Amino acid sequence: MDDWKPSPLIKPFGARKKRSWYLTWKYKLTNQRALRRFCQTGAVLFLLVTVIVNIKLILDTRRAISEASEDLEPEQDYDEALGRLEPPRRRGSGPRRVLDVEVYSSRSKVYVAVDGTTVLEDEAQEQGRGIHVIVLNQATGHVMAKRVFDTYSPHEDEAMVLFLNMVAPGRVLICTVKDEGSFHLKDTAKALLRSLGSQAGPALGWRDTWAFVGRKGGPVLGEKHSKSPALSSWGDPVLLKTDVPLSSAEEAECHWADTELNRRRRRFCSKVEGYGSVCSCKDPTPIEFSPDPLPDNKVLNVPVAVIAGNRPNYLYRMLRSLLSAQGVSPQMITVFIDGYYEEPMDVVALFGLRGIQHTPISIKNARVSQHYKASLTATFNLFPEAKFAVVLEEDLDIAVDFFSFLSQSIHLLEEDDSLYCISAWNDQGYEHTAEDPALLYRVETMPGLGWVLRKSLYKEELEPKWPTPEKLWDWDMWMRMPEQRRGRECVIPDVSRSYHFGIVGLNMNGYFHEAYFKKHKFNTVPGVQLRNVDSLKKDAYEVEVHRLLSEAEVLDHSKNPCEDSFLPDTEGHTYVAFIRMEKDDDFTTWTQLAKCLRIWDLDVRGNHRGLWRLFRKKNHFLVVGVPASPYSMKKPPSITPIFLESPPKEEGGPGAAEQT
Amino acid sequence: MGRRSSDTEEESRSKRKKKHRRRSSSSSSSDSRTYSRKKGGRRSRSKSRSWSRDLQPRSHSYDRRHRHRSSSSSSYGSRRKRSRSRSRGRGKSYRVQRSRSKSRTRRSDQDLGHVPIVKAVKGQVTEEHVVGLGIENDVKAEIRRKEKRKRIKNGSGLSKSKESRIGFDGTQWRAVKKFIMLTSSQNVPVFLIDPLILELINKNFEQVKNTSHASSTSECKFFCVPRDFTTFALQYQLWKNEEGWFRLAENMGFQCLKVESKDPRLDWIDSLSGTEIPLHYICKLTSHAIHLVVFHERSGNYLWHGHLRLKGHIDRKFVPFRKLQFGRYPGAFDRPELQQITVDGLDVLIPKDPMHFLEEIPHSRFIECRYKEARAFFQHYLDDNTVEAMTFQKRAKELLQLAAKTLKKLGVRFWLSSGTCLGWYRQCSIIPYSKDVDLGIFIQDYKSDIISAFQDAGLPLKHKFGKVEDSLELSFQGKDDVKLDIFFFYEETDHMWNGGTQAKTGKKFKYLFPKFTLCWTEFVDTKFRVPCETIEYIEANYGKTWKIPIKTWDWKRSPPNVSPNGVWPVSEWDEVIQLY
Repeated sequence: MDDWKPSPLIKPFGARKKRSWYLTWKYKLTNQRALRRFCQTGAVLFLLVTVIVNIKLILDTRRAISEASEDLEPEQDYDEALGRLEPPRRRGSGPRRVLDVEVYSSRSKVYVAVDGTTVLEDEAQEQGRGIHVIVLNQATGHVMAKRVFDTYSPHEDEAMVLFLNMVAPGRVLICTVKDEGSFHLKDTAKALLRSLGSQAGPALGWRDTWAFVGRKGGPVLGEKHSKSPALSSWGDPVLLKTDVPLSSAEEAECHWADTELNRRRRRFCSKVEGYGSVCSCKDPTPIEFSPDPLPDNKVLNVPVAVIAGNRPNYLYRMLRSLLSAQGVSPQMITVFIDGYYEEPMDVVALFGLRGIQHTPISIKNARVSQHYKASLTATFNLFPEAKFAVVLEEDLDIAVDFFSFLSQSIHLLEEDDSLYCISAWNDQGYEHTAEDPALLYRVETMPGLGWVLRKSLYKEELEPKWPTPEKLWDWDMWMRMPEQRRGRECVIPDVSRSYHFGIVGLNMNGYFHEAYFKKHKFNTVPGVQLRNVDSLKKDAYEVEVHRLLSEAEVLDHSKNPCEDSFLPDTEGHTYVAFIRMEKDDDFTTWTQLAKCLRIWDLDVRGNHRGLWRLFRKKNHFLVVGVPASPYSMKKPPSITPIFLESPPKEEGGPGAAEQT
Repeated sequence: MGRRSSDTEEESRSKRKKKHRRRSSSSSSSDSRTYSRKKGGRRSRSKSRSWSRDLQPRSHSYDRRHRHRSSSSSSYGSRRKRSRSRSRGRGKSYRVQRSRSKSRTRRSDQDLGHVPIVKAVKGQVTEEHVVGLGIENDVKAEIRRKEKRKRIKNGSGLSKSKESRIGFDGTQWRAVKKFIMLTSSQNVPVFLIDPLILELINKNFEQVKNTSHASSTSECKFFCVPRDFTTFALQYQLWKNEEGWFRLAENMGFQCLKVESKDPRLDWIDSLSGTEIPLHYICKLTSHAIHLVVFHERSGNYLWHGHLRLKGHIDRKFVPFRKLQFGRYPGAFDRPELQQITVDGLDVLIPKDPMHFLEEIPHSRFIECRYKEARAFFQHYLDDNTVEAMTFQKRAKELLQLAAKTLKKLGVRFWLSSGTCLGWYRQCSIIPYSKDVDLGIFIQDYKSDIISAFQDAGLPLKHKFGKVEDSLELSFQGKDDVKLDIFFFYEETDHMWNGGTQAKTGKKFKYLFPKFTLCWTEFVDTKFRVPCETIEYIEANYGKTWKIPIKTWDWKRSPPNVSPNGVWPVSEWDEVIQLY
């Protein structure tokens, strides 16, 4: 072949060139016997090799299959479910016994990698400031919890202490600081870090960087720290690389009695951390509550939809209170999780409930809205016989008599078409404005936060015209719109049967919560007998209101309604005040009054035809808007309605809410 | 005793051996098995004589086997052979084996795992073959078998051994008893739906009602009829402690297989994925298995059970899945009222109207709407969200529900036809620009009081075309301008058809359809029937391009299956063209 040269003559003829090349090659190849034989031998060899490789492959696969089937044997033994309950565990050939952990801390970026897999990476601006904490399972290396505590801000260190104390001994703790983590890191927290064996943690200073790996209650496995040289600059980025030896699975688990509940508990506790005593080895908190059944429970077969996002700790707290409520039936509960989050699903599984995940559609409020729609539709699909559904959210505590309250009042929804919902929440029911757990109101606003929805309302009216994803509407605002509500009202209790504890949320922050939700009254008395429930029906309620107004003592309208002395220091009286309200939608004075009463003032809530009912100093306090309210006729002619102007002219009470 | 029982012994021994290999830790369960076997043996021997006298239904397959085998070879022996050949022929393709089952050889009931037969056997053969065979065949077969047994009994030693074998098989009764004990102790309200036993109970209903607890124990007449399964059902939402029950069952010695699947009730909402729901439990105690069908509530006030689909890792030899009476297809049933009775010394719940339930079984097959395709359709063509469209859909839905209620009261079978059927199949909803709703009824189900029943329901007759013998079609005026059309279908040897009439000219039209059977489905929150062979039905009516929405449709010209059918003689016009 070496002596072969293409003929220079042929070159110019492009069209012929190809063929002649081909022919030449063909000629050469077919005539060189050696080459031919070489090719033949090559082919045979190739064939042989292929055969051998294939045989080997088959044998290997066979072996693998037989091994696998040996492993699977107990599972194959027909009890599929049993097999699935146990976490996948392979005895003998375990995984690597050492984890290779990398922790990075700097001003603008933190990351943690375990065996080359990034388990935390945060380089977003204006976010994730503070101490990031990751908990790894000491036997498997799985991430069990991921938290960030913004210890630059107050009280976050307390949350961190709480969290770290809840982590089971033996777990691998990883801490890393982004931006600043020392400003509000108080002594308790520093002492805790010291007890973990950290050197730098307790001495963490302004804008220091710090990375730490240690075992809870065990040795420190690595720590790096860089001091900030000046107030205006940050410590140098630090990168900590360390090996974490894994311990055996037996050590990582508690020895609870082998019961159904503990099986669920074990599965949960081997996956996640930060739920406190539920995973305590010695004295785990119960996960089954079996509250007293309700006699004559009218809501036993009403499905309960719990709308949840990715706030598993909230969900945990919520479900605990829900499952402790008298008359709860766990098989009627469905938790709808907005997104493919694992941890909320783990919480749901811990309590043995039904959980459904929802692929996120749209963004922000519209996403919540779409999640609501899917959840409600699914609820009525899953319980086709149900005439109602209870709608709850993951950041609510549920009162012990929540179902008792509903059981006593749900017939109203069946019998009175003028009702829109029954809600467990009184927007105006603060500790200083709610008193009587047996008392119910009718209000024109839809409070949400634990409410009952009528199936016919949903299926015939709401579902067909539910806001589409591109409309970025709040579902609850939409439901409150006159087109939807059509003049119908909700029944609410004076003392709420739910408590909104969520601080983190789409429309929530710490300040907002403290101002408007923290001081909300929440019923803790079991088995409250509601008073005169049928008087909540449309016509009966008017009779009731007229009776009340006739009984009520008219307050001294010359006094400042924002002063505490506006109401006499009596108990058990009924008082009425008249405020100016020119039209049905004129709430100027009411809003100012609400401000100084330190109740909900962001929009109008809790009114019934220009009447508000609340409690002050253990007296029933009625406020009537004149002349818009039909109850204006109860105003004695001598009384001039109170008029409060919007700030800044107003003095005294207004703005109190902001100052709390 | 002789050969047969030793066969049994041997077989179960070899089974046990296999099991031991697979599950070395289950010594306790195998102990309990031996125990129950002995016990069962003792009690059944005393009863062995009564057995041969009684009418004893068996599973159809058993019967078929008998027909094809000579009487000298025992069924058990044949089963052993089968199982051997099965393990040998494991690698063979399903097609071969299935075609055998079609030709009804003795191996027809072979345990091939649960491969949906639809793929292999076309058309209605499947339906009849698999679901329908439950009862009627059995009764006939029984008689035949009885005769045969008489013959065998006369002077053959074999017959005696047969008796003792059957009596010996008290394990079956014990399995049922244990299962009932287990469920009642856990307050799990299971009810008996086994077609064979229900049939027996139904036949001897008076007797069953009158026998006291004590006297009925003297003879085991219902639960001891040899078969592989006893079938129970349960409404899922009444099951409080499923996991605990499952565990308890295992502790009692049952080996349980749980078949789960995703929840079809969430299918329409594409973005939801939930925990799977249990569809079937099969719990085996020694040689007898309890099949627990889990019913789920659906919109439209009916109960639904799922398809028993064996996933890859499930042991196909766990039980002879082929012989299961439920689960080959999903099914829909009216929610039965229950009653408690005592049979064979056991307290069981059964449907209050066993006959009605039995009648439902052969026609219970359920098909789900094609939600995925419907979503794709709406992605392509967008949903009509105008007020008019939604109002029409709402009215049409109400009309459909009213029609369903009325026809159900009359006991008339009907199905979604034409545009309504297309809407269901293509988009799982009512086509907003259709002007009416269409139903089909077989002419043999025609009742003269249909018209008055609709009138009473507030739907006056709008027009009536044709006559019962030919091309009957009724139209009722619903509220708010929505019309209800009922087409009557006539069956020929190889096709079905319905007729149309043009009022002006008296022209007749004929619409041909390939033969079809009826299945249940859910549409607008109601249970409706539709042709099981939906695609053929729709393609006949709308052609291959049915997926493309067309707003202008001429019922005389557009359908591909329309053909002119002459003209009504003018003398008949008064009868066959009635307009109101």
